[in-house]
Amino acid sequence: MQYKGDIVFEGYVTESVLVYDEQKRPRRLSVSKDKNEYDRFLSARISAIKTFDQLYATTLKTMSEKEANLFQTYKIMAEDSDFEDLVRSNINDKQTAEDAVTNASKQLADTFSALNDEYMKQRAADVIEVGNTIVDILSGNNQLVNLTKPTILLCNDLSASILMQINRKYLKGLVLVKGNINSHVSIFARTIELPTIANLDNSFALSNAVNGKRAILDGIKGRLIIDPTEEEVKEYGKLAKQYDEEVTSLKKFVGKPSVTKDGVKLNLYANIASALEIENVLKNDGEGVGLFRSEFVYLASKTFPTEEFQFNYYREVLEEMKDKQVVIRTFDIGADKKVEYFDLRSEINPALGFRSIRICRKRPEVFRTQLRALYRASVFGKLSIMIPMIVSVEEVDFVFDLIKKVKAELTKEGVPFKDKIPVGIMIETPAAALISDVLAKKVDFFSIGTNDLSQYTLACDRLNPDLNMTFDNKHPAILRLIQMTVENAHKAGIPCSMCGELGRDPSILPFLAAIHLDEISCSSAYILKTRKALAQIDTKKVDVNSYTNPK
Amino acid sequence: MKTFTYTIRDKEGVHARPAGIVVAEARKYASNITITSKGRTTDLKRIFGVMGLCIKFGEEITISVSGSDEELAAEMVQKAFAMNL
Repeated sequence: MQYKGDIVFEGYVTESVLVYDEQKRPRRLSVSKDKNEYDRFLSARISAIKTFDQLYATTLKTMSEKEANLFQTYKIMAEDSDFEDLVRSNINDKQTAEDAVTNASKQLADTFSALNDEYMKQRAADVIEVGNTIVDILSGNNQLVNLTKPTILLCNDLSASILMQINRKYLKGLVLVKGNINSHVSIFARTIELPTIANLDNSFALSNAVNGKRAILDGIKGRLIIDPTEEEVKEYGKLAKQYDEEVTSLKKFVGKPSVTKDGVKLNLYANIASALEIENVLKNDGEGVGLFRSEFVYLASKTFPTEEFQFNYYREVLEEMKDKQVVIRTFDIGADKKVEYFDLRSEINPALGFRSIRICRKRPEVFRTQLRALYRASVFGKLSIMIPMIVSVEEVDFVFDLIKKVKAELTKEGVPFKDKIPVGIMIETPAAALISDVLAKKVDFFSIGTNDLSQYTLACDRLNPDLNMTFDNKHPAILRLIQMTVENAHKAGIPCSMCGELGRDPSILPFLAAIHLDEISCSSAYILKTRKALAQIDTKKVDVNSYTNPK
Repeated sequence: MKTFTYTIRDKEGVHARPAGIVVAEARKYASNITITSKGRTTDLKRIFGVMGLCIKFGEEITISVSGSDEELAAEMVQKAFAMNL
């Protein structure tokens, strides 16, 4: 039997299953005669707080303060007077301490769930977890999972505190049948690198009947196979071996330079959309951030983000990347990224419409706020500014005029900023590629955006699934534009990078290295793979012509 | 009374972990400390009240501190926000 789920952490595991049901808690129906129920609650709460303190200490040691703080929050929830008041009033209604706590945490959780917001629903789960910990202590119910052999743990959902108390030696995989990839337990599973899938498509057969059965957890495709055939076990054994070798071989490339066999350097940077991704960039040894999609700062907001807000956000990104370069792309709003408060007219053909630099020219005040925030943040790291969707020299002149004004304002106000920040443009329209010789004399760098460049060159909507046969981003026309852009950049003495999907395509990497592209920026997950692929390329043996003039 | 405003920079908003940290900080002081968001005010020492405000990324909040140790409390609570949210 096969099930599909969302991937929390990658990996392959073949082990026996242990079904664990956190929901089943024995209930006491009548109140205690010899003991005051409220006193029972108070002493159970003291034990629960001790448990949270211990979990805080363990997590601080094995993970980091960020994860450990969750248990400090649980402690504060347990101590909270709103919670205590609800429990007291439930006990006054003749409930057992167990029921009083369960109901109090449910009442609080309901107020969060009622907010009808995925994010607040997760908060509801936190409250329930605090209640469950106290109830387990009250009922003497040992909820800990005792593993004695290598196991895939199968449960509807799991609390982070229970996960932290399981013996890692035997816990090989985790299936959260009804879990969510953003829950606390999922975050913890990723931190301890435990192969995990969540939110299974079809869960009715996952009962105690599968307990003890052999299963395969495929954390690459997001599958759980119960009772696999011998063939499947064999097949997955091979896959697991290959995967382990791959992971080990990629780890060897951490700290290594990004060069071809014959010594051609090609820097590998990361594309990110939020400060939260920086941890991954550094873990995968990204040499910098080649594309920070600043429109996500706008997409996450209900009104125009203020200068102060943007300044703090950019500053955080720059500080976290320390001395490494960060290329922030000014907002690319419009087309498929609509924001309500920009109040854009609906268009028949949005990809050819009012977007990014075109909005900036009509509404310079909005753009000016972002530029001010960027220049103010510039003193906190190594910033470059990149302008998207350029088609003409006029647009570039407009940008530099506005930058001049912004700098003059900041100087007048006595606000510190770095004067010489590289300002570059994206080459993502055929127009920009065709006049790249002219543009190169005006800017500090180019970055080729292959997704839009392909869409505009091929007159082909990249979001339309019916066009996947036509949308060929390795079309010789596109490769010729890329080659031309790189050559024109180098003639003018500026670097040229690439920040689209094409950059991480191993079949095109030899071409990019051979035409001396300076930098590729891709998702963090592809940095080490690309570095490894690069090390096997000898650019002297690459026939560039075969890419741009195929037979 | 001391007041200050702060804009939430954490992408996930005021979620459980950082909420716990600022509430823990607020509880260290004798002063009354309140948090106001979208016109609603609640006690910053009560975590469920704070979480119930459903404060999101980019939102501006106002903190008011009044009492014998308001100077120090306002400074330290502000620090807790700046470092965690």
